[in-house]
Amino acid sequence: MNFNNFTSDLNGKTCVKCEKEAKFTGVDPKKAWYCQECFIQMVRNKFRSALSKKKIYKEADARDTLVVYDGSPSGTFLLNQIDDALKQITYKRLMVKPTVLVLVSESEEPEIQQVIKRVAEIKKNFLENVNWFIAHIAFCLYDEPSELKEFECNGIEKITAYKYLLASCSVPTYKKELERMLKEKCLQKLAESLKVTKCMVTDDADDLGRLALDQLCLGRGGSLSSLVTVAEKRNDFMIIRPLCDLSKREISIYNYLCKIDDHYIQFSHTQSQEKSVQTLTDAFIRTLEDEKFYSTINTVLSTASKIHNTNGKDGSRCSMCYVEVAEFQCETCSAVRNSCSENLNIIFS
Amino acid sequence: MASTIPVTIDFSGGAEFLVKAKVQKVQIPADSTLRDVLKFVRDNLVTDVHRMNMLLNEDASEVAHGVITLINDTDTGLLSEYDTTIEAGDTITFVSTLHGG
Repeated sequence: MNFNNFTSDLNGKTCVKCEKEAKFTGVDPKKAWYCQECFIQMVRNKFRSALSKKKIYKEADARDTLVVYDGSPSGTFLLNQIDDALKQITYKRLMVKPTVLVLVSESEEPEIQQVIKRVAEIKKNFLENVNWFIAHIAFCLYDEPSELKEFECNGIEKITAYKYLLASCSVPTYKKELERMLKEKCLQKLAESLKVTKCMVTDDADDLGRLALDQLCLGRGGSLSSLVTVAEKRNDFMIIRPLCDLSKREISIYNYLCKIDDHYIQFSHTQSQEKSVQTLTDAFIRTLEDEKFYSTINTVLSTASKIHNTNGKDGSRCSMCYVEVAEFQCETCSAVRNSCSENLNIIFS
Repeated sequence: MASTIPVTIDFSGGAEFLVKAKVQKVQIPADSTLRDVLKFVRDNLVTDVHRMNMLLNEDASEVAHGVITLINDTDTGLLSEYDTTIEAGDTITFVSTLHGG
């Protein structure tokens, strides 16, 4: 494919929504370009339409929602959007009662203290009048829902056990998958502790596209739609993914333009690049994007959204990952369990 | 001696942790392109050389995957990408999309 004339074609374009000079492009620069104001509006609209088209908040008695903040650009964007939506006076007001949950994945004491300090600063800028809780992913290891304390990191005493559990997993791919499942379990336990049934997560289109390919490789292809859709119901708990239509690129430009890009929580170390299906998927998508196949993620997600499982029509789900299956546990979870020397059934029972 | 022009280079979204300061006013050679600026950044501004790969590729001919470049708040994809000529007073912004969390 010849891309040589591609940039000169875009030079001097006007916004697709108004007559102003285009300054930013959407995910695919060949399809849409916007002036600054229309770009910001487009990003906001994607967030609001993801929530409104599924009518998630139509019932007045179920508006309490856990809003996850993980220090990432997507997390900051989510807080900003909820804050902004609550400030709308009349018809555009989002009918949600948020509780912010700062989800910590760092396991060293100085870094956790740094998170607590940063949260106190960030709180002054977003959703200052709602409850904020900080919890480590290790919170998933509590047997029963427990009362959460403000101004401290909940679940800190389970960090050693959490690290031990992950270290007991001998296959890097299954270790990463276990981390993902433990994170979801943690959110569910935190929601139970706070008596909330809905949880908004920070997964954006890039995260979900990668997740879809990972899950396909792991043999959960039949359940892709529920894993990447905007609202996933799991018994009495609902995971909401309001950023499912937004790319990291759109979110980061928005954050920069709206001057909220200094509200991230960042650490200097890089992530482990242990060979796994997940790192290979990531490298595969990066290569495609570097070769200017910008719509890869969109194509993966739109295909994934059409794949439904028929095994669990009677409502039966895997006890570990909650995908619809005919048996007690899906094949992938059995493999994850077998790769760990620790007993996972206690955690996921 | 070759003439220079003043420009502002802004690092955002976590890219600022790889350099001395988030916003830096510097002098670069006149008629520089964005590609020349990348090399200037590598040679003069990056302080965390061990993590240079989070901002620039190996030979600093392009930015790393997940880094967006803007010139005067315009995506360089809408200009002439790396061949865009930088003018005096321009602001060049590097927005990292992969930091944080």
